[in-house]
Amino acid sequence: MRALFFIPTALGRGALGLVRELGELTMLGMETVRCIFTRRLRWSLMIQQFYSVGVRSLMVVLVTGLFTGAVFTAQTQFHFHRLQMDSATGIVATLAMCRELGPVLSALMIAGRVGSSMAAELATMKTTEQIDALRALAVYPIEYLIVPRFIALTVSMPLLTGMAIGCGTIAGYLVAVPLMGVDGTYYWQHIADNVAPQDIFVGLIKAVFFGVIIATVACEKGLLAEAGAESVGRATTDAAVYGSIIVLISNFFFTLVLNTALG
Amino acid sequence: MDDDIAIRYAGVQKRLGRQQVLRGVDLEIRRGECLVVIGRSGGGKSVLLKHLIGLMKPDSGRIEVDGQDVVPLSEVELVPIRKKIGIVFQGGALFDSLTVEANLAFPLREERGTPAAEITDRVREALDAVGMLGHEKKMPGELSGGMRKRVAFARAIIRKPEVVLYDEPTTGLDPIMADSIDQLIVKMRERYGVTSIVVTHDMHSAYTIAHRIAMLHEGRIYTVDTPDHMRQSADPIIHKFVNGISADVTDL
Ligand SMILES: Nc1ncnc2c1ncn2[C@@H]1O[C@H](COP(=O)(O)OP(=O)(O)O)[C@@H](O)[C@H]1O
Ligand SMILES: [Mg+2]
Repeated sequence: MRALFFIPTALGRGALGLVRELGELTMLGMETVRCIFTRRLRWSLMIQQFYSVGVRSLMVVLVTGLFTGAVFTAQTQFHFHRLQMDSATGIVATLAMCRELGPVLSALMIAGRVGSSMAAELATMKTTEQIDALRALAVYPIEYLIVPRFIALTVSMPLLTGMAIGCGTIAGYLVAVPLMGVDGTYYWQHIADNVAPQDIFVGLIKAVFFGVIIATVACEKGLLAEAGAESVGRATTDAAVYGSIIVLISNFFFTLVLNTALG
Repeated sequence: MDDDIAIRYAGVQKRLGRQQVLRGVDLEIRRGECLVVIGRSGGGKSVLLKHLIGLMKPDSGRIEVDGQDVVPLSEVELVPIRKKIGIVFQGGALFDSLTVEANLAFPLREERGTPAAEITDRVREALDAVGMLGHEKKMPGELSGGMRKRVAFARAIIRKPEVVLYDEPTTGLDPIMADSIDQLIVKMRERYGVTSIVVTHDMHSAYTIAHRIAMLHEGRIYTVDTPDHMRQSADPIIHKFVNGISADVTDL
């Protein structure tokens, strides 16, 4: 009998948990945005965060962009060559890089690198009562800790994504033209004729939202950590896992919405 | 309205998880008084202190600071209350990312309007008071537990608050350092008229600094009395605690 109810019960729990989780995320996100407009902005903290979020992620994101562009172009060219569609390789690879691969893979890397370390840092501050100490000193933790991280990540994401897209496109060219013998002039010409600025724009808009998602998830996991060392570990992995999953799922909906809205 | 009462807990109850930590705490602290709170560890002493500055909200009951109930106040409304109350957290709660110096300057910088030169002076003065001069540039991670406690102490008093809450300020310190912290607590009170609540397990320290000692037992204030009366108490619960006799041993 109990086995019979196990699956529905687990599903129900999961659904409730998901709703609660989304509720917490929305509340934190809204409070953060409210804080941005109503409270003092901490510029020096923000610059520190730009450094640790943006500058220190450059390498990771550039490598991701380079090799994604390279492998995707190579794979496309292998197949398109057989179909004698060599001229479409550059277009497909560049569009994929701009609209999907660039933003999504950069976001996954950032969720793993930055989201998890943000959550770990905040969770440690929570369990060692540093967040209580801020409040006791009449400093609002959202203003002092969350807003700088949120802004830094939201602004860094499109910049990093733009660079990933650029690297991917260049890598695609290097693979297709010198390596696989596609005609260089036509390669660029086809891209120029078929890839519009709005294709890049779609990728960058997605990146902004992914930045918001990763920052909010990481901050929520960090701030809600309970006492104890294992909860810091849990917050860290949860931030990376949930951040990545929400990025992947929401990407599907962004694609639908943005394609309808912008074409 | 009794003008002499700085802080009043009335019927404060708090449940955390499955545990009813506070079961109706009634306690009054007079202005300028040093009240020591004793009780078993895990008994809710830290929770009791956190309620006073709104870090936790009770399930029911009133908590008054200078006659004002702090329970319904929002984070923004709590700011003036928090500015007049300093707290030394049990684990120090120093900011990991800031040097000792920056930790001490933090409360002053946050007030804004304090000139940089004055901040430097007051940081030095506070470090000197806790015997930590020369460690300005260290990060909290490089300090021993006792040193961290002393820096936390200095940070709590640097704004010259009217009320200071000390959560086990001498636990983990060597006897000499513990004694000098006790002297500081006394000095804060004598020189600046600070109202203090000190949570401690250290009965020696309690007898040295306390005007009155309150015992928190099973979620309530079991007794509040002078150090002498506590020491001579015939009540078995108090007697066991102040003399450090564990129940298991006496049962034999
Ligand atoms: N934030 C919290 N969440 C859940 N339980 C807590 C929290 N803080 C304290 N507790 C629990 O409340 C009880 C009292 O804790 P505390 O006030 O720290 O005791 P102590 O008297 O040693 O200072 C403990 O059982 C502790 O596990
Ligand atoms: Mg405690």
